[in-house]
Amino acid sequence: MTGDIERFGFVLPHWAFWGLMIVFPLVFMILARRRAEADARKKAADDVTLTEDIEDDAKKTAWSPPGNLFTRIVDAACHNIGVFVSLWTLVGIVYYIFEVIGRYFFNAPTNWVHEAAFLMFGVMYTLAGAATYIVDGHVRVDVFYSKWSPRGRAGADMVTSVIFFVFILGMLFSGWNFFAQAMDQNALPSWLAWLAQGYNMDISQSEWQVAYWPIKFAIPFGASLVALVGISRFIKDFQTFRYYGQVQDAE
Amino acid sequence: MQNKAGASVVDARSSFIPTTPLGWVVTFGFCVFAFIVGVELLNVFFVDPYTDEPILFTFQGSLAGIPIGWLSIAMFGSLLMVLSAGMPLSFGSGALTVIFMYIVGDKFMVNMIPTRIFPMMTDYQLSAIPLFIFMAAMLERAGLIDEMFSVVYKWLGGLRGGLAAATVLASTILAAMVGIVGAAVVTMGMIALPAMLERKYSPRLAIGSVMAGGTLGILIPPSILAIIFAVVAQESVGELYIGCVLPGLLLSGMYMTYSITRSFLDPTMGPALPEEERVTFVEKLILLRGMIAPFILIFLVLGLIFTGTATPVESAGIGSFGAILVAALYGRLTFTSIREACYICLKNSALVLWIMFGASIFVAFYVLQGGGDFVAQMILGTGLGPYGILLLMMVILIFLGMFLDWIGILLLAVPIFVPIIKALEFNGLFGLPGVAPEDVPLWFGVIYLVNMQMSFISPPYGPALFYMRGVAPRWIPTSDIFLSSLPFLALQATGLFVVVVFPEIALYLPRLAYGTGGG
Repeated sequence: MTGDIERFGFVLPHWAFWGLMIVFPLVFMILARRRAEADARKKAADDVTLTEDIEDDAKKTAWSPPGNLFTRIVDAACHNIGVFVSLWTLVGIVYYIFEVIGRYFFNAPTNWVHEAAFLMFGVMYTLAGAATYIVDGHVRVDVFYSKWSPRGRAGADMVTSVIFFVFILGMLFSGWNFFAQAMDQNALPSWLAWLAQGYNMDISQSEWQVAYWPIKFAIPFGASLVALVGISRFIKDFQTFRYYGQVQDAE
Repeated sequence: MQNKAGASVVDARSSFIPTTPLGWVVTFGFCVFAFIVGVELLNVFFVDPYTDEPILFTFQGSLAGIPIGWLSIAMFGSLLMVLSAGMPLSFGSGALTVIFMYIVGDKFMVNMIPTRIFPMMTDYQLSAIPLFIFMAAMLERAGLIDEMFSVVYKWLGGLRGGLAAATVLASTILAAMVGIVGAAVVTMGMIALPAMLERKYSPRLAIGSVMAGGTLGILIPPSILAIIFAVVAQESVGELYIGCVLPGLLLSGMYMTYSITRSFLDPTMGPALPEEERVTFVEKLILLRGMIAPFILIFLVLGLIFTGTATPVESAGIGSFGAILVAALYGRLTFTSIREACYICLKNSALVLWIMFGASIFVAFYVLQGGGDFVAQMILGTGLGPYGILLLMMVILIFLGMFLDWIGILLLAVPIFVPIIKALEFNGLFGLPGVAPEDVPLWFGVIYLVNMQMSFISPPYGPALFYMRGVAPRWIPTSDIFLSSLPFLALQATGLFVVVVFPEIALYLPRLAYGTGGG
């Protein structure tokens, strides 16, 4: 077995790795939308049922903050980035299938699959923090928080948001330095040289030698997305807080 | 009514001056924090800490050289405070790390953060997490879980307490495909609980079996928690997975025996299905057809791991592909279902990983300041023997489990506990054989995972209790949900004790699969 390990199969070129990460989710999203539109047309041709309207009415009874233009843009952008990166899971699955089949049926293990997959997933988790925060997916300790009124919760969120921004700013700036040090300041064109603080382009130590700086860029990028969602949540918390306060006054 | 009144007052857009006491408190709190952070930001960006005077004031380095005892109190005390104020664990622990780095060290220390985050982003073992979550989500989309319960329950329904046992059995099979607890408790709570209540099962037995069965998800492979434990404690994921199989089956068997025995003693707890609802043996065999696909998938994924044919990560990829095929087989493979499964996978893995980002820099900073040695000396200083220390750790973990979420406990406690455990010798209790030193970390991992089962259903804050509250009918009081967990907690404590006394339960299979001295 060990002798065969030397026989490496197909090696994914770097441009294909990065290209796949960008093109595949786009293609999938376009196809999915076309399909959804086709289904909607088919449905419209059939008789329209009223079930969706009933569900909408049920949702309206609970008040939710209206947000503003900023929150709508930020939430939509972060949600779509989340959907985009989530589709990399499928690419990862294909990579592993390729590796196992290559190794066991053709004696041709690869030297790039594992690295390609974990780098891709690493970017995925980091950029997904914002999309998860929109739907309030980050777990809280519910000892007291869940027992408070919506107004109390919004108030507590507004006060702790200052502490939240301390973390995000820390991660953003330290992450930026980390990213900048992964790029060679002499290799970039002069108008971009301010970006880089390092003295060589950081590449992986494996045989595949893929560039690390885009992966490292995910840290400041992910942190800034979370910061934007944090601002958007703050605006909505403020609206919630005022709304329930005024309901209280009115009573 | 209220909505209408509210809408009109909001439109009025009155002034921004607070009108209620709570409004004043929030405004005041926000302004104080924002002012301090604002001044510190000016200091960070415009002042050289070594040569210049700070603008107004600065806390930078003000706690430098603080004794570790006081630092421990300050760090964990403030963590407790921000968490009770409702901050997400990931952001709360991360923020406190940044703050303590700044006031104990200096602003340059914050640059340590990405050097901790990046290795986690690029960890090979952790890429199994999104894949296993995807697999579970895809199988759920395929409607496999409903199908499985209906089969198991027709098989066991004729027995007294059979539906409760069927729930546990279905949960066990589900646990072999799903690595997290929430999904199993919620799904079984929606499918199995109404079925049992309809047939006059005692609500306590019904709820208890759903919750206890659901917690098996973190013990029986492929468990997400086991992956994280293995990464934090630098163990092999595969070995930990195999080690958990027997304890998992042991617990599952105990739950089933309990349900059936209890119902035999008191038939009102869990009456058998009436004759007309039972099915014949031939029909039972035909029903098994629906179980073929999930069983192939389970044996494929676990088989690949246990025979060493593929790593856990590769098996997760293959399992996900299998889940897509199963969905196609059931005619549920659409763009929408794939996108939904991907999105669930994204949300859950981001949740896990961001807690790892936040909590692990918190612990890394604490250990860097000497916190690990401090806790070790404190625990060793109690003068307890190795098993006494193990018991103490279990009690601490159960206590933490009442408040903190499981990944949080793992990241806060395990990096501090594992070095202590590795330094101890376990020579066996009651004259029984002990644990070889190289097997101790693996054994501790299994014990830890069994222990976490208890934290999931221990009142008053076990997460499974809350999932259950969400899906249980309103007429069941919350106190009943709490009480229903007690007998199963006792079973789990017994299981934990058995694994401690007979370490072979955890160590036999790994030795068989990976040879001796796996450690």
